Amino acid sequence: MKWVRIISVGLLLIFLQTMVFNNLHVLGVCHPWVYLLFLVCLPVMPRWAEQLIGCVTGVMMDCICSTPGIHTAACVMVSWLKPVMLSRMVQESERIVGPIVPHTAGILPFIRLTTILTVMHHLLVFSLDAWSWSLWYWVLIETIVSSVVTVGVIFVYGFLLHRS
Amino acid sequence: MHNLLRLILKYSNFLLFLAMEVAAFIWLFSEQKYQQSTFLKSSNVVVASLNMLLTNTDEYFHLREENESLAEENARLREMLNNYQGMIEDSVERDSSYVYAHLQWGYEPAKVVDVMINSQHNYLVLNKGERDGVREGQGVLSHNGVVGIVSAVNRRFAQVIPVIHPKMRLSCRIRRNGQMGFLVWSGPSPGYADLTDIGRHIEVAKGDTIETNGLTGLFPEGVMIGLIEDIELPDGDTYYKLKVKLGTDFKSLRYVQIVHNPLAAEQDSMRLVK
Repeated sequence: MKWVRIISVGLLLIFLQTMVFNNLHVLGVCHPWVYLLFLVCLPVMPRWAEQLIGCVTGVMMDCICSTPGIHTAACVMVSWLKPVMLSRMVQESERIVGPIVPHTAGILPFIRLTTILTVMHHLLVFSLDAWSWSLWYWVLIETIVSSVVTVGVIFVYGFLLHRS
Repeated sequence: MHNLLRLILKYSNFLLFLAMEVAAFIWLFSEQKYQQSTFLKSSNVVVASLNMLLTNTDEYFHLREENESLAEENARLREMLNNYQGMIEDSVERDSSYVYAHLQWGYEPAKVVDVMINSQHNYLVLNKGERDGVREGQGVLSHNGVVGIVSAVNRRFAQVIPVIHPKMRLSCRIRRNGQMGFLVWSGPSPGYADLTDIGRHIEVAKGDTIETNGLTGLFPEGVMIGLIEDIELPDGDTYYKLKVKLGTDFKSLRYVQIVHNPLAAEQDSMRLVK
């Protein structure tokens, strides 16, 4: 049952990303990857399982967005880094039950984890997509603006929608 | 051997991470030809179908804009009709090949059902495919100018590489003096592209119209691409750096026309004759 729920949430977020957030054209620099919420809030599980879920999520996004390997690389990185960072930020992190949200992981660790993972994911996606040093300023602006929106959405979910 | 196995087990998570990253980068670098893109995979067809459903609903909220756009196009077509009437009246003085050159083109209207313009891998998906007679390599126009070229087709949908794609290099000319150049796009804005290969000895001005030159057989001659917005002439450089504001607004693009040129294959075959 737990896995069915996890898979449903993942599919729902990918659907929202594809139908809503991919069609946002705000100022030409705001392209939030909100599906990241799924990977950030994923419950604690064996690391191989988390990496596999990250890889499958990335492959699905790449197939949908016609961006070969870009999201896969970024999602695998996030799935690998998350348990490492969580274990350093939260004592006995393996005992956390349920999704990683403020009331399970703690407010400060959640904010730090979300912000760092989002910025790294967005930076890698936009850098691989641009694939040119001459566009570094644009990659930087896109990363900052889009990360703010993505982090905002994850915070809304973590702090408001998932309080209990 | 036992130690090696223990070592692999100890670092299994890191090795799995490394293997997945390497696979992702191999995928990224092996995707050289855009035609081999993931479009033909079922996932993208599912997205296109879902988008088509949403587009149908969304259309009701944009009826006013669509009306204005159609009125503009009506006016443009009326002007074209007047020009043709003038041409027929004046036909004695014109070569008949001129008339045929303008009548050879066919247009298939299509709706944009999926679009990606935020990236260096920009693309559009249209709701017309093989069953509607659409083939790879056909040109695509909007009523404001050139959109791109059909890169892949399946039964119901067609994928288009827009002019705002780094792999696109469109042969074009300046309307005022006929000087040929290439339209290229290196990002990041979907509203602008660059015109290259225009030598410093050529006179160019802001506001000059860039149009198709008809040499590729993909588009009719004289279709607007955009307007020159900025001119730079770096010291010691033999070519201008020209910034072109594109006529097509990709952000609000809903309807396009797929260009059909029955003489394209014939024209292509002559390119191989030496």
